[in-house]
Amino acid sequence: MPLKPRPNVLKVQLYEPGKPVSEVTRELGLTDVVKLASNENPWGPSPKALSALKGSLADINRYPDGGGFYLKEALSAKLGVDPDWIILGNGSDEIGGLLTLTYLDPGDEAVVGDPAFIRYAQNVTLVGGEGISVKLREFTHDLPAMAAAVTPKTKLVFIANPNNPTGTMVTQQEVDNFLHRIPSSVLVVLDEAYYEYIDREDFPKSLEILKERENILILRTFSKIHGLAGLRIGYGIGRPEVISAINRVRPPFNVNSVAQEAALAALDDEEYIEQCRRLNQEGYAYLTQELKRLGIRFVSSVANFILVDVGQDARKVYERLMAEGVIVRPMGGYGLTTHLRVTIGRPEENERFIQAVKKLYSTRA
Amino acid sequence: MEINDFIRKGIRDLKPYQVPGVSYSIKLDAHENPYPLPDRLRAKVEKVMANLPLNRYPDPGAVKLRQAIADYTGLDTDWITVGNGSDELIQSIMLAFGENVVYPEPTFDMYPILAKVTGLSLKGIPLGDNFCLDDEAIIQAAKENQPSLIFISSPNNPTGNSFPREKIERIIVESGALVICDEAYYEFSGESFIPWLAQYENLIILRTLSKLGLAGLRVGYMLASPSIIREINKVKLPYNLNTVSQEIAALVLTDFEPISSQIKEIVAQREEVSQCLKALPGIDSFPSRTNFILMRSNLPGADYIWSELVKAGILIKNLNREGALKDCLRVSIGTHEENAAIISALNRIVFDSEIV
Ligand SMILES: Cc1ncc(COP(=O)(O)O)c(C=O)c1O
Ligand SMILES: Cc1ncc(COP(=O)(O)O)c(C=O)c1O
Repeated sequence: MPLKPRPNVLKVQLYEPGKPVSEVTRELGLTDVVKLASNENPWGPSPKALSALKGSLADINRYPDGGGFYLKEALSAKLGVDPDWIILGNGSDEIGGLLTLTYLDPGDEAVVGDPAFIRYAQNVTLVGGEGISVKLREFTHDLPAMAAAVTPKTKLVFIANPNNPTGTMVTQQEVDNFLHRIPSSVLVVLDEAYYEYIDREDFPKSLEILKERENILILRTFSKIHGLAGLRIGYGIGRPEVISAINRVRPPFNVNSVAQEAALAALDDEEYIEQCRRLNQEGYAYLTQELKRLGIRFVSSVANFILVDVGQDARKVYERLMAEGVIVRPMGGYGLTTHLRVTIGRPEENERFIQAVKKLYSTRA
Repeated sequence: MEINDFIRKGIRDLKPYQVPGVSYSIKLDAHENPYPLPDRLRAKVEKVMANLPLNRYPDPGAVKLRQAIADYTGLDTDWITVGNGSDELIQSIMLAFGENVVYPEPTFDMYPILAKVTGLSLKGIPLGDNFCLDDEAIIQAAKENQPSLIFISSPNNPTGNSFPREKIERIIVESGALVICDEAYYEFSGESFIPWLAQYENLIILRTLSKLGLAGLRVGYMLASPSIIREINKVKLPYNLNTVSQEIAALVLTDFEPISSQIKEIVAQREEVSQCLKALPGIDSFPSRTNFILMRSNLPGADYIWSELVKAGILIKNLNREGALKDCLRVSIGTHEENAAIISALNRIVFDSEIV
């Protein structure tokens, strides 16, 4: 008779990832499938990253550099913090999990937005912590309410900025006001997975905040604008005390060597990043204009995806779009039963989405 | 109060992992396969790599790789899950099933480290003379600390020996625990517990591709009944294993012959190195079923030998600490040239040290 899992594990719901293209082509017998489901960069990684990756294959018989020396040096130069302010993860997702292992004892609380990136709450539950969810206001993190939810048991606050799945951001002013109300014994996680897409003056200067405050951890990733989601690499930036605490629970070889090399090259290609940011803005302008024309509501986004309110059971719309070869993400798992999250794709992919939506709406009418 | 006052109690005494800050030209400290990917595989890899959608998240179900593992092990895919190295799987097992961890000592350091990380209680049971397994004491410890997880690496790291099957079977049958047999060195020992999986529901087998030439890619896998696999899948990261690793690992396991040849060569080299070590005064070496050899030197001593080897540009692992590993060193089997280099350096070191 096998052991029973820990009660905390039974409480964890399986994460529902976006459907891979291969699965949809197989299941529906479609050949030309467009995936706008996982907030990936549709343009792929920088060519420089690809050639670095080829070079890295020569050494795959060796363990990776567990300290991530070269990549941390490069990040350090770019961000203006010392390398010991940086930790690398198997995706930034891994760092979220390491954080809960580092700081949460059973019964401790972590404040999360609702709906926000679902992995925070899962990680909290897994270690026996209590996720305290605070409803968003107008699809945006309600920082005053989150501050009010902090109790003596609170150890962590997770703020995705911009938030997934809503695409909204909180401003420098809002974060400042919030931090004034947060005791220094609470670590505030600013998850900036979509940071490089932002083009807003009032976006928080989190690195500056970090220099003033010890209880901040910033998360960023190579999965989004850098186009390397497939390689699994992200990073955290925090005070050396915080970073070394998390390092205690980090498995020594958590980031594979190929990802380290490719990320190093990707980081360097600023021109490519700039280009992807611009193309994303153009995609956003196109999609929102078309949605407006169709009278379909959506939440204004500063990231590379848009939360769309289809005004009916979104799961059904999702399935019908899939039958048209367009994969998006239904948001029922986030409690948004009439919403879809649509990643901004290449122009032809965006058009496919709009065409599919039009077809759907015209056959309904 | 500061945030670090809240670090969970269990992990306050854990130290971040440190890589030795020395330079070397020969690396024999991490039981890696010393050979690069064989040409035939390299060519296949390059072809696959040209079309990988790296901007897309990896397949969370690792369908292709699990199929390759199924073919390699003869099991069904629902008996298989993959990890970012065995490390991640060990941690996932602890997070999923928890409470108490029992293991023989000395063994793979990550068992006690990850038990602390996940907040479990731990109990190491000393190995006996010649590193033999004390099955009785392990069963006893598991019964006294229920529910428990027993980790047994066979062959064992860092001692190199494998444990008698009867003892392991007895532990599986009598302990009432979930027993994890870590077969990280299976390809070098040829002994597997896979045939027992159908029979014993409380058995988990761990494997890795790190010793086979893919250490940089971090690919481990776990074999167990589907009901166990399901729980592990809940606690591991949804996108735990990157696309490149999935693809290359699948490719290597499906066309394993070139790696098999490398393994045969490493095993032959192991026997040769072992013979040479026996001939050295001042060094005792232990029999190995792995791709490394444990040795002990009371005089001139492990610390001395280690630092002299570093001066010669050779990095091995110094395990010297009080207890069973007093004055012990562990050397991985390298290429023929690397092995010759370390044997000749060791020769010089013991003779120069004038213990003979
Ligand atoms: C807010 C947020 N954080 C983190 C992640 C995951 O990033 P990574 O791929 O680095 O694990 C995502 C991915 O969707 C996200 O939306
Ligand atoms: C017994 C044992 N298990 C697992 C591992 C690590 O495997 P991986 O590289 O897959 O994390 C090692 C590596 O030294 C080992 O000795």
